Amino acid sequence: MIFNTYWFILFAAVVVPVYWLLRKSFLRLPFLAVACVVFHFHFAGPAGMAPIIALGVLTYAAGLTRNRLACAVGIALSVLALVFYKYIHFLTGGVLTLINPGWADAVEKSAKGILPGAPPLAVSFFVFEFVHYLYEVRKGAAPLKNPLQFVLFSIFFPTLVAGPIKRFQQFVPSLEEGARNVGMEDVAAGFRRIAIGFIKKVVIADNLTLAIAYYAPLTPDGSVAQFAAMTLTARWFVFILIAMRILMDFSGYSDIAIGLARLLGVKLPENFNWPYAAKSIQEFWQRWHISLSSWIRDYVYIPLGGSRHGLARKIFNGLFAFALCGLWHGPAWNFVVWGLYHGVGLAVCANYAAIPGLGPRLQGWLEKSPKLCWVSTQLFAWFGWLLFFYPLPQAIAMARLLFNA
Amino acid sequence: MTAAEIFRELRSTLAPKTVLVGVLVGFVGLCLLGRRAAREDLHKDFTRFTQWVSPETKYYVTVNEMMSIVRTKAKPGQILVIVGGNSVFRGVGQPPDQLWTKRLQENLGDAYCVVNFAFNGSGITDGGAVAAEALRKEFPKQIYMANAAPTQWPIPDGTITYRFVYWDAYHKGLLIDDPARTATINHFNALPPYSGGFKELTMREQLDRWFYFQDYWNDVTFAQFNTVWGFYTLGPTKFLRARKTYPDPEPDFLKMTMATRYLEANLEAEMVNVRGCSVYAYNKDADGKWQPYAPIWDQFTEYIKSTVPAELKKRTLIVLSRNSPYYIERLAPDERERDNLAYVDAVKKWKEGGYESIDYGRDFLIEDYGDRTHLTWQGGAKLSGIIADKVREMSQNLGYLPAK
Repeated sequence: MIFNTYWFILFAAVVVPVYWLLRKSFLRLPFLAVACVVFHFHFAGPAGMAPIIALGVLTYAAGLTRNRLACAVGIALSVLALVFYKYIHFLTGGVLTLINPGWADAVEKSAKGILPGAPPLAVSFFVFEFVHYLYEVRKGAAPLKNPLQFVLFSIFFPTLVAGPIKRFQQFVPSLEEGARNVGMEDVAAGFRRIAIGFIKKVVIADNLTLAIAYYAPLTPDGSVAQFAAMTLTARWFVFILIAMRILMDFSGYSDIAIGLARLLGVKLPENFNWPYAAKSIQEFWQRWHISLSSWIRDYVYIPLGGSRHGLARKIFNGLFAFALCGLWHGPAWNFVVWGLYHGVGLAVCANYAAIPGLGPRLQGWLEKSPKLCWVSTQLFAWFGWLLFFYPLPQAIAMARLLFNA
Repeated sequence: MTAAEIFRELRSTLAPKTVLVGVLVGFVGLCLLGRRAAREDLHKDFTRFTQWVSPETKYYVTVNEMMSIVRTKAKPGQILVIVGGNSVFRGVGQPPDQLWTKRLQENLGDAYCVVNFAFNGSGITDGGAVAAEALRKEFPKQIYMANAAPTQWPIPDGTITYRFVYWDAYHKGLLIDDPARTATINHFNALPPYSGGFKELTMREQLDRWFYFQDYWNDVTFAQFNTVWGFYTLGPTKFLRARKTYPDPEPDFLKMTMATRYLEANLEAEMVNVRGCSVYAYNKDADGKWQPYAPIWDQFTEYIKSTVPAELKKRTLIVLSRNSPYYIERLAPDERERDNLAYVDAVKKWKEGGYESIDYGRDFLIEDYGDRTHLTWQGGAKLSGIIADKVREMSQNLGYLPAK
């Protein structure tokens, strides 16, 4: 994690107090932009920065034109860049090979000379924010004319690595307000949030990571034999550790990002809201990685038609949006399966009441049993983490082992 | 009251100024506690570093901590003998009451104070070497020793796992400023894998110079409660226990069968390791005689020039530890000859470089070894006799003892 490197601690220890001391917003914002560039350069390097600069310039320019076609082209190029940097090996090795191995080989070879060793740092977050920006401008929102505002929206250091995914209409006014009026209340709230985030990430999640490695439910040779050799109680214990670890890790990171922004007077959107308290799948996704799920809703699900064209289309749109949501987490099939799993869960959850006869009775029964709703929702979400972290056959084997003594 | 309500309550009752003052006071307070911890000896009745006090379990021993151990153990006027090196010198397979350095202390008597600062997998310049150098003014009568394999490259700031100790001492201003050593360190740290994480490491140690966070955390985790899960911690229900309560887990090789100590399944892999001690360092000439392979030996000779500063070389004993005869006897006769040559030549090179050096193990029995490299406590007792003689000789030569 970048936030617990010594470099970052020193960086923040210099940048934040200087930002406070500058006092005038016309000084604070350029200073913050320079700091963000330094941060991005340090962690991404020139090779990681170059594609983001190119995409950023393109997005800014396309936005300024307010031309619908230019914005659409900008969106397409951003998405293509994401596909190229993050998914090309997946598409050639996992998809194109099945169609024509020769084509897959040719694409791999031609990409090899151009692709960097690793995708540019946080390319998925950049692309999602650029797509959001161009989509909104294309729909009629006023673009950001001030390049400084656009730079800060693009590479605002607290959110640069792992979000939350920002919306420029909320972010820019908050940035301006923060630069004008950051006060003691913000600073205290920021420190509190950062402390909570570090406890969740470093004290809880990092220890859970070590504990999961210690139990090794999946050994490096891909076997679940060690998981099978555990007692049933131990298997459930590890299962709970896996679910708690991802929540603490990711929400801790978001807390630190939100807290850091608050130290600068900037209020970021919340990313988590007690997701393990959700009593339905819909509610879970209103509480888990909120900035991503709302992005998927606004820029994939609704543009596809949402729920406007009948039940079949609504289910298809949901499945497609969630498959993309899964794929966004990484270029591998298990993420797609995880996304589809949640898509199916949501489809069932949103539509079961419409099943003639059984549906209304089931709905009535569930409404009287909130604890059962909570348990079933959480079990569904937590079994999903097996799909998220492990290859499909092993995830299924582990899930079965949770019910076999 | 739910957790959400508790947080809401906290937010509404904690005034911003209170929070800020709390953050500042808390930070300064922790730094002061760290500073205090740096001066205290955590490890009363110290025998050796266990797995619980090692990077294996994410415990990073500080140079202050090692210096405090020495200050507690050593009496004024004693000759300080610091033992560094790897698991062989740490005494893997020897129970704490039979540890070879305990025998060494008994052999040497009260004129000496022996402290075992060896770590598993560490090298000549790790941990103990740094502590000895940092204590050179306080304990000018000192001998530092470490074990090594022949032609093992000594990196002056230590192996990647343990170099944090060197940089800890460096940033606290405890080391000799030696340009030759600095040049070699810069050479290594510009190359992968040594370059990886180096900037973060030095930044951490620079900050720790002011804030003492490592000493504070070590104090908490050793004496009060552990905060980090590890592969060697005591399971999910006990991992929070203070590390001082953990037992020294070393098994006794002599209570294990020979078949367990010399696993048949590992034979091939271990033979590769044994041959690796010499195979790259020699070639056969036209007459079929082994000749040193110049690039390896030249590089080795170059590196040992700056392993430690010149003024510390004479008090540094490099001990070349031979492999168990169980494996040596399985080598072909010419391989055995090459293996022996490697040890003899390495001792010679170290001596030519200005150090003291000996090797051991040539006349040891299979039973003296617990496995390929580690000694049983019986083998350790033999080793302590050899080392004690050498330490006395060095003490005489260095003028630590009255002239005979």
